[in-house]
Amino acid sequence: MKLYIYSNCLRLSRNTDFMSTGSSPEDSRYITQLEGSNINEPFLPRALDTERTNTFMNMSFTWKLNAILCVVTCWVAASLTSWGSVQVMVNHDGNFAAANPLVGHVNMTMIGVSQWIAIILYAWTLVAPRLYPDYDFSP
Amino acid sequence: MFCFCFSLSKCLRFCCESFLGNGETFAAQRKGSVVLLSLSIILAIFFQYFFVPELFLVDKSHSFFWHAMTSLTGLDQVIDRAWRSGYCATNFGSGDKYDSRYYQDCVGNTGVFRPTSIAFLFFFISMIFSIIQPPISNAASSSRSWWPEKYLIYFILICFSIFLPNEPFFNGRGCYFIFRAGSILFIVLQQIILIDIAYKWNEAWLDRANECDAIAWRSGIKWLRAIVTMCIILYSLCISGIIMLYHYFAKSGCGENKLIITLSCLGIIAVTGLQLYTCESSLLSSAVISTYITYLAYNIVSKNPNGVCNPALGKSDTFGIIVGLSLTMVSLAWTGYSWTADDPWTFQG
Repeated sequence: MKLYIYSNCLRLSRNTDFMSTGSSPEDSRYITQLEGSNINEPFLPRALDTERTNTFMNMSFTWKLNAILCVVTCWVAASLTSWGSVQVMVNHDGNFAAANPLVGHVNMTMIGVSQWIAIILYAWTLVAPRLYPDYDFSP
Repeated sequence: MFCFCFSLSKCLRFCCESFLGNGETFAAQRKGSVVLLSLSIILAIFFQYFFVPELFLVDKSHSFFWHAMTSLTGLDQVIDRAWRSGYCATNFGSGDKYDSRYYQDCVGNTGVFRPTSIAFLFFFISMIFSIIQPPISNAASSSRSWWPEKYLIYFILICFSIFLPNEPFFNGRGCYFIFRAGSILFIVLQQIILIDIAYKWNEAWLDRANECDAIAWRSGIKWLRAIVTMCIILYSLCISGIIMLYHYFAKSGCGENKLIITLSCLGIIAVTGLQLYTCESSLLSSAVISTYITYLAYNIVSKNPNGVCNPALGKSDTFGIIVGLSLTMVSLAWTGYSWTADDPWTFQG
């Protein structure tokens, strides 16, 4: 019985999209360009097809890749310097703790914050369709 | 003068062309970028834990590094002055309130900022160029890889930055705030991507179940069973993880760790209960989120500087330092590799 309820829950799950990126006019222009160039080919083998999607991805996802690499670089710099704070780490044996570059109260706090952001965001995705039943969450 | 201007414009054109050269696949670009990120992580750790301690040696006559540097006349003094200058010197350079360890840590931070800020600049310029796509040349349309040129530019900039003084860029007002803001953005983005993956996983398996059902009646049940099995596996991972954390990290006197683990436990219960109550999402998404929360709880308590509460804290002998530094490098590079995975970006493509 319980299993049935669970699978019912599974069935009822909504299509919630966070990362939905509607296709911009540039993308559609690119598609038409591609289709125009290949219009004389009656049959496209599968390998060529994947190559084409790769090129398409390349054009529209490059800036996103670089944007996320920017913030990852920020994260690396911040966690290596414990968010720019100057502190001397001392182990329990009283030595300078070069063996643990990421250890520190600032880094602990920031990962804790990210943990609670995850919990609250996920809870919000559960509660939001109940609170605003009229709003269409599906893209 | 004309000659100088001409060579400068040539140089600029070369740089622009290399940044414009995007004629590769997404996978090749990602590989090149992650290698560049890993290089800057390695350089940052090298500067922070090998270069700066050499800089702060009291007796430099036995150091091989300083022998090498002094044989290149003048360079050692230029580097020494550049790295010790700026706000580190004004805040920690003199007075008996702080010992020289704080000064060394401050200079170590500027050592981290040198390679990482150049990598940041590098990715930022690449991002701007891929958005606006200036019609400088036809480099963008050529399909060859431009990574050798990009690495060349990166290394020239790194060599240049070693001689740059701290003051204009690598100080408390420049890099720090950009990096803090970017990290906060990354923290939020990480959670959004992970929740998205949790939802998409369930979607994908449900779609397969529906496809099977469309072919033969009730044949999709095996995918639903797979979902339930995955839930059981993830929740048992999660519960055993919490028990392990209580056992190893919550000793008497470690109130901090106890608080963190208990809060994570409450968060998991709250999220799962809310999901079962509202029936809004699926149990698989909740299982993924719960496992992620447990992983983050381990991540927090393993960064506790108190050695009594943290058995994961390494010893400060040479072996421990090498292991600790290489683990840090791998984990940071893995952060870059995993969060740039094509999955979140290609779901819509």
